[in-house]
Amino acid sequence: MSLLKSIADLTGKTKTLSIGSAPYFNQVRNATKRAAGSRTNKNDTAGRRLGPKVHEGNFVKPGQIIMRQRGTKIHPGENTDIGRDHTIFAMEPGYVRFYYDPFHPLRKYVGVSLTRDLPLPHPHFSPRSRRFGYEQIIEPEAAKQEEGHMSRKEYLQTPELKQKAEELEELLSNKRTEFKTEISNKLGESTENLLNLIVERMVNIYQLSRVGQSIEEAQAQVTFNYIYDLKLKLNRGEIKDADSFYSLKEYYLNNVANATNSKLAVDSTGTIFDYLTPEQVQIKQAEIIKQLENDFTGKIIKLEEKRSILNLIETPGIFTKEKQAQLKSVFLPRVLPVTVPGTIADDFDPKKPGKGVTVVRIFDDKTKEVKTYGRTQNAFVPQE
Amino acid sequence: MRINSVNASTQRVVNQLSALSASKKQPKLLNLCKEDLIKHKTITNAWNVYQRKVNEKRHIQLNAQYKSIHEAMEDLKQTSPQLYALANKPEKKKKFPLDMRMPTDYPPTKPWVYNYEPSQKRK
Amino acid sequence: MISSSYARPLRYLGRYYSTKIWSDFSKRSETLKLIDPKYEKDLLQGINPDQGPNSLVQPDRRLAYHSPVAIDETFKLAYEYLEGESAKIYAKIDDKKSVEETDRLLVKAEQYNPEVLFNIENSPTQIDREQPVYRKYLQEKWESHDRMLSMQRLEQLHVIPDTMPTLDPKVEVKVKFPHNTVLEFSEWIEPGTILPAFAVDKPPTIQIQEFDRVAENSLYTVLLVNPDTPDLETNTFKTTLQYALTNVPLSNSNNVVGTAKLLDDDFAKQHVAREYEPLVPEKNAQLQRACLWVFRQSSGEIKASIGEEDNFDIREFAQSNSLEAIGAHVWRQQFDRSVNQVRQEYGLPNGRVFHRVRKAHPVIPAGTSNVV
Repeated sequence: MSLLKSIADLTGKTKTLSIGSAPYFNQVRNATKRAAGSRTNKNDTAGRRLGPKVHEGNFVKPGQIIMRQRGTKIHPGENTDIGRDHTIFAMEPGYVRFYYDPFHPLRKYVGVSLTRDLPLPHPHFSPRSRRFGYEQIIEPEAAKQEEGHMSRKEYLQTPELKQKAEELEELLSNKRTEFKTEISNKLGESTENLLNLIVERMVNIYQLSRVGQSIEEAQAQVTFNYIYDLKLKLNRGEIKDADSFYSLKEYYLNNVANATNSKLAVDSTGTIFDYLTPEQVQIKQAEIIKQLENDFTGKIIKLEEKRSILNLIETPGIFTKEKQAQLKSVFLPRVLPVTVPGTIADDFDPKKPGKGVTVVRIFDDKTKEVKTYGRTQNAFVPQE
Repeated sequence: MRINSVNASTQRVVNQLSALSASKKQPKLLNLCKEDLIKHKTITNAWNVYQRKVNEKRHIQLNAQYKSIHEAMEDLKQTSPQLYALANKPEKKKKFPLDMRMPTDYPPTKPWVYNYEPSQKRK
Repeated sequence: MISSSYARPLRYLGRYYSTKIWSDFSKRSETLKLIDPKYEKDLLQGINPDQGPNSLVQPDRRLAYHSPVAIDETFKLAYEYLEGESAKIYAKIDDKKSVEETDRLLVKAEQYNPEVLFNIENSPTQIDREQPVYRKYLQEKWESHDRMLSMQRLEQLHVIPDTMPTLDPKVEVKVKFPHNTVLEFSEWIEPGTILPAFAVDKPPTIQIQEFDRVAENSLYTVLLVNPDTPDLETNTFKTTLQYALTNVPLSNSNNVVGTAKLLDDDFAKQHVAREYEPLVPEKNAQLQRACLWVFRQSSGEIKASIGEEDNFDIREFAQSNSLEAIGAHVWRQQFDRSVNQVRQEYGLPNGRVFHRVRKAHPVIPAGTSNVV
């Protein structure tokens, strides 16, 4: 309606009353106040019983209401919280303190201090005062039951964890038997006890090398673990005295650790091999790469060649896992490059390639054109 | 009849681009190998170092210019206070004519236009 | 092709002489050279388009790679210019300069060296931390993320102010437990992680990376405290000391206290002031924080031994020995199924068991009778 009116105004078709046209003007004031009360004028509610419910220094229990208010006349301070209707209640048992916080100078706070003599707010850089609040279960039976109690999450995960632990244990026991025969072959005659110690050591080194530790790091760590366990045994009283601790330690260091460190090593796949120093490893790496380049680059790779390449790359203790993957991608591509002789069919019809010829279209970067090749079976490295 | 200023294939590309979102039309991020990334950084570094030196040099020169102007005025103040007052007399409504020459870093080939006349419009 | 608008600045750059300081290792350290020599040709001479860059592993990706137009020529100009600038800075270094001033100049002279930049990018674990320029880049990296993260964890988990009042971190503190055979626990630990007891049952390896030059004979103290040990007498918590290393000499490069050092009997005797004892939280005692603090010893060697008191006051200890807190780390632990095993290993009695539900008993002020 108002829009219509304003349009009408613009077009100038309506008559407007100009004050100048009237000679005089009588003003009349009528009564605007309703004489009788109306339906909406007597909605007075009862008081909401707002205000503090406890006072400075009073003891409160957790959940006890300290203050009822509209809006935050007072803010919740330490050990208190605020409800949906801004009710402030205690979170901890203690003594009520009304205070100002230097970080918010315009606010009033109410907090609960845990002891009677503790002022609030607590100094900014001093440790917080905290309540432990958990009660010890004295009765052994109940304590045992509570200790065995699992959360739902833990309960659901238990079977999977158990299965994984069993699988690991099986793997390690297999490795133990495997290592035992190999080590006794390599080191010759030794006592059962010593052999077991060496086998256990190699199994531990194997586990550490699986998480990416170098052989030297793993050797040091396993030695440390053994000596540390011996020390704990001494502390527990399972080893008689310091002398026998030292003799056990010396025995392990001389006969197990130092005797095998320079002889045996194990890699992350669990293969035992003769230890090589880092310098020797470098030389060997260069040798293997040279051999790969000379013997297998630019030549057709059959299953036999593939196996010998794999053997070279996976020579234990020479290359890391990442390096092995890189070498495989370089020396064992899925498809050999077109430069390898014998992988390109000489005469072929792109429409009807004969049996055993695959048509491949490759973009030549230099001439900027797509070339069509017929690849023979030899171009594809056999997959096992 | 619709008059096309571009040919049909160009118009098609224009239509396709108008349908693409702005983010698709952003230039691609530099996708360089490690070596080239370091080269790129080195080139940028060299350019920044060079620019910094140029700016420093200019700053020093401007400071020196200001200092010599200041000293000349101080000198004038000592030797002839009258001339100093005359030189510093505020000249109301008299500004350097803006259409005479754009302010630039370097002096023009013809340093001063002695018979300068404002353009016709300003008259 | 370089367009004509770019030609001018390049010509200007080309005027600068080159003194080949970056290929001269008679005065500079060998560690400023490219660590991995296989990248040298690609970086300094240019990538052979028939072979592709060495940093790409896959052969087909290598061949498909194209360098930006004229990058090698431009790089050569830039290299010569920066090398010349570096030579000018090296000329300023002499014996009269203070150590800090020399370090500052060394950083300035080497910070744009592409070999240094490549080393930082490609092999950050192998760089020589004695070189100020490498430390500068390490510090930048630390400040951009790890320092903020660790301060966030320290503040949000209230390590500050429950143990020490505050911290202005100067060093990067990294912690790992290398005895673990599971990848999840054997790596460097992010501050605040919840760890099971079996993962922490041997002493940790601690790396303390200083970014300023470490003065000779500077000593460090490392304290591991648990501020959440339940104190049933007062119904609050007390702080226990779990591990203490004192008078540990460290340098910029020799900055790890770990297995290799602890294996050495002399080191253990001189520096381990309190044997390591892992946190073994009791059932329903909630999460406990293992707070590891690193201090610089500002007044030389600490001679006094650490007492066996029940409640360890780390603030008092730091003040009385004038220790300056320079870094911290935190991980958390709670009761899990491996706690009892670890307790047995360390000869500790079985843990108490607490009610699952928290009760409303108030705190009992110390010194009052034990009436609830």
